[in-house]
Amino acid sequence: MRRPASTWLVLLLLMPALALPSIIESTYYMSIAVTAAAFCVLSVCLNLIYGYVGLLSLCQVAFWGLGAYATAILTAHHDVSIGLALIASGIVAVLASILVGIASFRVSRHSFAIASLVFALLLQHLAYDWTSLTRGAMGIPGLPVPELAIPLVGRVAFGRAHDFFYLMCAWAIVTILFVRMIILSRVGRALVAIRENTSLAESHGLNVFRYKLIAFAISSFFTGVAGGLFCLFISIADPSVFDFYYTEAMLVMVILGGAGTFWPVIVASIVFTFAPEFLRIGEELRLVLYGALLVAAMLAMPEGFAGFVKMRRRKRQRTEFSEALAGKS
Amino acid sequence: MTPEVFVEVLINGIAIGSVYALFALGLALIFGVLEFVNFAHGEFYMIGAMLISAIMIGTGVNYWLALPVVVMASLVAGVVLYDVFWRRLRQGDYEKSILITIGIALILQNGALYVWGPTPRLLETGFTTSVIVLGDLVIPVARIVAMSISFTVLLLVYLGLNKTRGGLALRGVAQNRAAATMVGIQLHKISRVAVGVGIGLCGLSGGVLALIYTIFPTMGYILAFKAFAIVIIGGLGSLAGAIIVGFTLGIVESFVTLYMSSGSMNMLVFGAMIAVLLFRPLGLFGRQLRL
Amino acid sequence: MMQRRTLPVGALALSVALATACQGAADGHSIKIGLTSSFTGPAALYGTEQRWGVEMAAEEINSAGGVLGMEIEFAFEDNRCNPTEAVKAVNALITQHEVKAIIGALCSSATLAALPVVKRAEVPLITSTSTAASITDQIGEGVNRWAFRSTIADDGMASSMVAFLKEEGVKSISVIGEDTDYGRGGAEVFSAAVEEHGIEVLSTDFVNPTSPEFTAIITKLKLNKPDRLAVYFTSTPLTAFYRQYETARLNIPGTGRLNIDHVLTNVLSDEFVASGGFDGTTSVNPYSPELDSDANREFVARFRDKYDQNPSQISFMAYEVVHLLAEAIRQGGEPTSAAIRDGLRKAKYESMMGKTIFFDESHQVRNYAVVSGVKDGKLVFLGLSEG
Repeated sequence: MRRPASTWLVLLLLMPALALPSIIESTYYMSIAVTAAAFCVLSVCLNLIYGYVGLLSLCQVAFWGLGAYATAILTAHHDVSIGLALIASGIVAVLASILVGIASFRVSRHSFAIASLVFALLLQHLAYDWTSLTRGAMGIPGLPVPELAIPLVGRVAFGRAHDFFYLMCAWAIVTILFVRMIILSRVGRALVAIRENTSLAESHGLNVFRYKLIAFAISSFFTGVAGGLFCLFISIADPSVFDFYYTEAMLVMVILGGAGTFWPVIVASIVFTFAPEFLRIGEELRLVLYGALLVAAMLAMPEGFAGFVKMRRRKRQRTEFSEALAGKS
Repeated sequence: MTPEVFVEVLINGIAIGSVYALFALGLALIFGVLEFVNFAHGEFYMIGAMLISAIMIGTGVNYWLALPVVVMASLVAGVVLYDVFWRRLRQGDYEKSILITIGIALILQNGALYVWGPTPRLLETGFTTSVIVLGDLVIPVARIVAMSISFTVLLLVYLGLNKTRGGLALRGVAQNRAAATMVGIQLHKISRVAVGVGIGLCGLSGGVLALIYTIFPTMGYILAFKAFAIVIIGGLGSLAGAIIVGFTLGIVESFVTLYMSSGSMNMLVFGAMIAVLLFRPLGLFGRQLRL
Repeated sequence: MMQRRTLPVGALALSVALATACQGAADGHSIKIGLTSSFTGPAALYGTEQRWGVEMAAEEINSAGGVLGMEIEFAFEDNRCNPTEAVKAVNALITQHEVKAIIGALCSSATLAALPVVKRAEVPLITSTSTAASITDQIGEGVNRWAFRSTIADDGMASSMVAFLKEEGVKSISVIGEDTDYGRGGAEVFSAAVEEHGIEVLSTDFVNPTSPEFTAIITKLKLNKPDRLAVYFTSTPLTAFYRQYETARLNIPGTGRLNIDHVLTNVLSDEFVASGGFDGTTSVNPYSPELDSDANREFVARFRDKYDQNPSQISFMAYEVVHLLAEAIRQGGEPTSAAIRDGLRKAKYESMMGKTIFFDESHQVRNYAVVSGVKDGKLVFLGLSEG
């Protein structure tokens, strides 16, 4: 984890993914690829706040939905340009995270988990009920297609999944690089110190509250913008962006990947977006399966897949060592 | 507002509030003893309602026979939940306990959707649509029944906690775990009882609310918002808080929604929760098990 | 009377998945049409009814030799009446199943969300069920030339319903609707028609379609005492509302567009209906199986033969739209989306409701609506009106 070079190495390995749109013809699979990129952002952000700070945030979906609605309302009802709307989405999410953070960080980790869940549920209720702003269950359809003037290429419209893939990937890469940078920095070490022993960190003069808030705000910003991008991709925002389904999927990705490990979580995000589609599992059974995986992971490999591998490796090393010892004597 | 309407709205509020109280009491009981929050609580409530409808339609037995069966089934489910999952967890495994219950919630809710489908059902008991008419006053019998069951059970829980050895032991554990173990209280036994009773109460509230509302697989998810806000406002693990805030919310909601949209009501509940977290972080009634 | 229709939705979803999977391979001898509807979710019952109507019509057409020498084949995608799912479903139909035309998306909110998608993809979409008046401005030549509506809209139906109420001497009306394009749109056009006829609107309320709690609205109705209550609910809130209506012993005849049959058979108790608690209720709909014509009686008999129950309005509209679409494919002369679109502008179809339907400049049709009501606890046919 102390080798920042790995960041570039992994990104280099990911480069071929950018060629996907020219290889895959099916719009269907390309849409799943866009969704996978979005889930990478979501789980990297949840991982930052849960895996590294130790705060189980159940309201990441609220930031995602807030971002989606901010973008949808600003672009469809107020003719704001897409770029500005996306930035606004991030800011709205950050403001919400500060509200929730200030209210619930001081209490217990339980209160935080519950308060964050209640906040996420509230926003879904609001999306349904505040019809003058959100149009309720009707949603806000017909969102504009993002266009970008790229030097040498000219104006590019990101209407098809094949093109939108680059947009979502770009955001995923920005998120990954930024969060990685934070984790490797002094701030990241402070965060891990807080997770391991909050009172010890406090006695060393760390402003625990402020560090928690910074991490929470960062995770909400990237999640919010991803939500805005995603609603542009599907061209509509409706209350289902706040569905518990997203929370569920994020948790499965982070926990099965291994909370507090960086790359395995990203691999898990991609695997768990594609696997259910390939298996052609209906939504209900998919969620039942996710639930079962979550429970099983908690009982059998609480450190996730990454932790499981590490544990096996350590065990093997230990047996090799003791065998070597035995051979010697 | 005419006096008749006032009484009707009040009765409605108390009926709904009593069910909120039962539900939140189960949550608080489990938290008090184990320090775990059961995120699947809403789903056990839904299963309670679904089960009573399935039993009544499947076997044709009447409500009064089906209700104890549902409560017993919930109780057993609680004991199994404790023995299979929670027993292995240590104190302080907060996140693990939360994630396990979220997983269970998912399995129950979507399993119910898969098995029963999303179409809402109605319970037919012979008295669900009966009313008592006193002049202009119309009181639905189902709400009176719901209220009576809730009050009886609340009384039983009170007596159980204050007059029986098990209840005293349970309160002891909740107040001071270490001391309770030292005086020879069997922690696992007490915890198992607490979880069993907590989930039992939850199944019961589902069976009771099924008299008033339509029954569908996502009903627990809809209740979860208010239920979790109630336990934060009342204070995590505070039994008295759960009951008082539950009743208050039911009554306030019943009146307020006459003049306000349900959306504004939800904002109000959330605002109250944030205010409590900011100014009285341990809840209005703190952590105490006294009733 | 109290038997419940419960659907094995899981099994249905599976069969849909299988059916679509099997139909993945396209051969040169069939023309592929997509149906997106609510096969799961709170409106799953409607989705099944729509599927029945579609399949019955397709079988008839195929056994009579198909169109342009090809069989009509259907691909199904679920949208749970959710706008986002509708967008996904329409995309899947176009890119995965490569359908040439789409029927759907059942609920008005879902259809409205799908409209920009078919416009961009240039595939014709016909909605046979979404009656929201807000769709009217969204389709037609010059606006969205790829979208059509084969049913009459709520505004036309509302004004003929209100004219009928005026004759009955109704003075005041309260309106309730579910918070969707269907509910909001229906309530809006109904209120407009009511005011036009000089009847007073006492209150208008909207509820979340999944909410089980109606006590506040019922208390308000008790205080306001309107002559009629206009209801724009689909089955989930309709069930929940009328249960609480009965326990509150409210006695306000319903009106608007309300599925009387569902309330009578699945919600209210026999004693309450017998005591006249639902009498005087009226409703306007695009179809009713009680319709008095030879063509309809024959259709009902064939439908009962196949599915063992009366065709609902959803089944009826699905059945007619497939026949209309087949005619459009014949008129277009080629199995391409563009030709079918042009064909839709030329096609004419003899509707069982008594008019020859065709799409006008704004891609709407004109047809009769049915007014039915409750008398002595029974559903009765009251007459046809211009929709």
